[in-house]
Amino acid sequence: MKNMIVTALKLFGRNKAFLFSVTIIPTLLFLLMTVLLPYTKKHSVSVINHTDDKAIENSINGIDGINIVEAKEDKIAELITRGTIELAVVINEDPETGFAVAQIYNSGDSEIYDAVELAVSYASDSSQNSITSVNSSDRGTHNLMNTLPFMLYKFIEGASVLGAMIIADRKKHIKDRIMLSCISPVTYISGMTMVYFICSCFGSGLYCLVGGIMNYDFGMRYPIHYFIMLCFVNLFSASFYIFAATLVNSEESLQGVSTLVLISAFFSGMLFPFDYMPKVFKMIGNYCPQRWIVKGIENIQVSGTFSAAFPQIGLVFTLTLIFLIIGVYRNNKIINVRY
Amino acid sequence: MFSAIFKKDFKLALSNPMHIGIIAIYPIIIIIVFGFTMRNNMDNIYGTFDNTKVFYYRDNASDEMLSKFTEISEIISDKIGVEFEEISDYDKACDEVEASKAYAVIKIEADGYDYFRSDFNETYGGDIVRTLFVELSNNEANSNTVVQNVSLNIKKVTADVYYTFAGLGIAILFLALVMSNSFGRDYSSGTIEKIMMSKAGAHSIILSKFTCGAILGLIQIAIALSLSTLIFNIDWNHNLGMIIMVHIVMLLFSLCFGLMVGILIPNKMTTYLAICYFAMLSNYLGGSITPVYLLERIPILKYIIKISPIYWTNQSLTNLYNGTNDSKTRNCIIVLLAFAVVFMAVTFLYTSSKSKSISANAGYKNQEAIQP
Repeated sequence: MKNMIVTALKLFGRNKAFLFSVTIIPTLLFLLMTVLLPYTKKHSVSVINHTDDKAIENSINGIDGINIVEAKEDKIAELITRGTIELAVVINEDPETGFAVAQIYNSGDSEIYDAVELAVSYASDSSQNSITSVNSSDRGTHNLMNTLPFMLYKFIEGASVLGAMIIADRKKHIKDRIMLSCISPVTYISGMTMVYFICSCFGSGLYCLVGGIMNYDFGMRYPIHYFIMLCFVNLFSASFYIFAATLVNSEESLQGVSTLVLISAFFSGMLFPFDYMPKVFKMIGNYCPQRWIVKGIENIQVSGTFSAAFPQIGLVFTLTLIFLIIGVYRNNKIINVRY
Repeated sequence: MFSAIFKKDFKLALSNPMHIGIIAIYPIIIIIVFGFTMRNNMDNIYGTFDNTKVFYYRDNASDEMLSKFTEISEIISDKIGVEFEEISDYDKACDEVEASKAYAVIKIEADGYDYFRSDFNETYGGDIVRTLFVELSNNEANSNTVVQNVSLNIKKVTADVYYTFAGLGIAILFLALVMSNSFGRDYSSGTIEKIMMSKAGAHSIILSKFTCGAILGLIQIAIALSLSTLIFNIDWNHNLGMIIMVHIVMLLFSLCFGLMVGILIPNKMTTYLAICYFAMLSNYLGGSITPVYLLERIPILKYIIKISPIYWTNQSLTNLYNGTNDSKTRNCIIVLLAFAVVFMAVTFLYTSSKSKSISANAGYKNQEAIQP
C-alpha cells in the first residue's frame, strides 16, 4: 500500500494540470463566482439627505441587515422599478417649522417598510449611554453560501481527473503492470483514491482558509465543520468517478458523466438560490447528492451542531460506499477478463 | 439569382439543429425557467420576518424597565409581527436562539436590557429587530420628525417580464452565430468564391444572408413575446411598439456583427468561439442571467456592465415597459444602429475587395489557361 501511495503521488505529481485543478483552481473559481453570483437576501435602501442633521441618515445606515445603495433623487422611481432598491428615504427640512421631513418612497410591497419607518421615527442625535447591551459577534461580512452549490460541482467534477487517470492507466497497460507486481486491484484503487483525497482536501482547505481570511461568513459556530463536509464531498467524488471510470472506455466519455454532475448541480441551486426554484426543480434537486450536502451545511448553520447534518452525511456516505464497492468490483472484473 | 442564393442560405440555416435551438428553443427555455425561478427574488420577497420570535427573561427587572419593554415590544410586534415570549430558563433560551428557534433573548434587568443574539447564525431579520430594539430602548419617538409615506404608482418589473427581455436578448445575440456559420460553410465549400465570380455579385451574398437572418430573428421575437404573454399573462399596454422596435434594432446589431465576423474570419470554429464568448459575456454583463440590480451592487462590476449592449437594451426595455420612453431608449437605438452601420460597412468593404481580388485571380488564371 505504501509503495502504491508513493507511486500514485509521483504519478499525480508529474501531472501539474491535475495538481493545479484540484488544489488552486477551486479557490480561484470561488473568488470569481463570488462576483458572478451575487445573490443576497439583504434588502436595499437608499438615503438622500438634504439637511445638515445626520440623525435619520445615521439611524438608517445603522440598521444591520439592510444594504445601503447610493442613488440620485431623480432616479428613485427607476431604481425601485428595476428592483435595485426597495425604498428610498429622502430627508428635507420643513422651511416653516425647521423639522426634518423624511419621505419614504416605495412601491407599496416592501417587507421592511415598517422597520425603516420605525427607525426614522426614533432617530435621535442624543449620545446618552445605551441601556441595552448586546453580545459581540464575529460573523463574516461576505456571503459564502451563494457559491457553495457551484463549489460542490467543482469539487465533485474535480475527481474526473482521477477517473481519467484510471482509464489512461488501463489503456497504457500501466495498471496491468502494477497488478503483475502482486499488488491487488483494491490496493491500486485505494492508493490512487487516497492520494486524490489528500490533494482535494488540501484544495478544500485552501478554499476555506481563503474564505476565512477574506472574512466570508460561514454561518457556523465552528467553520471546521464546513471543511469536514467538503471532505465528505471529496470522498464521494472520488468514489463516483472510480465507478464512472469502469463504465466508459475513454477519457472523453467521462465528459458525459461530468455533464450529469453539471445537470444535478443546476437542480441543486448552482445558478439560482434553491429556495427560489420552481417546485419541480426543487423536487429533482432533492434527489441530488450536492443538495444533500448543502442541506447538511444549512442544518449545521441553523442548529449550531454538527449532528444536525448526520442524516445528509449518512446518505452521502452510503452512496459513496455503493459507488466504491461497485467501482472496485467492476474494476476487478475488467482485470479478470483481461487475464 | 438572388432568390436562389436566399433559398440556399435559408435551407442552410435550418439544416443545423443548433440554429433551430437558438431561434425557437433558447428563448422559450430561458423565459420559462428564469421567469419562474427568479419570481420571489425579483419581487424582493425573502420572508425576512416570517415566523419570528424573541424571548424575554426577567432578572430583577425594575418597573421602569418592564414598562418600557412592554411599550417597545408592542411597537415592534405591531409593526413587524415579531412575537415576544417570556421564558423561565435563560440558558435553555440562549441555546434555542443558537438553534435558530428565536432571534434573541432579552434579559430585563434593573437598569437596562441584556440582548443575547447568536454570534454565528443571526439572520438579516434578526439583525433588523436587534437594531430597532436598541434604537427604541435608547430613544423616545422624535416628535420633531415628520415621516411621509410616498407610495409610487409604478409597475415593478417582474421576473416574467425581465426574463422575457433577457431570454430574447440572449437568443438575438446568438443569432449572429447563424450568420457567421453560414459564411463559414460557404468558405469551406468554396461556394463564396463561386458566387462572387457569378453575375449575382458579392453584395447579394450579404443581402441574402441578412434577409434570412432578419426573417429568423423576427420569428424569434414573435415567438418569445407571444409565448411570455400567453404563459405569464403580461400586459404590454405601454410602448409595445417601441419594445418591439428596440428588439429589432438589437437584431440588426446582432446580424451585422455576425456578418462581419463571418466574412472576416473564414475559420468556422474561430468565428463560433468569438461570437459565443461575445454573446455570453454581453449577456452576463447585461443582466440576462444574474439580474442587473444585483450586478449594480458590486463595486467594480457596476461600471463594467455598462459596456454591454444587452445592458443598454435592458435599461431601455425596463423603462419602456413601465411607460417611460426617455433618452435611454433613444440613446440605445442610436448607438446600436451606429454599430450596425459600422459592422455592415466593414462587411461590404471587405466583401468588395475580396470579390475584386477573386475576379482578378480568376482572370489571371484564365489568361494562363488560354496561353499555350
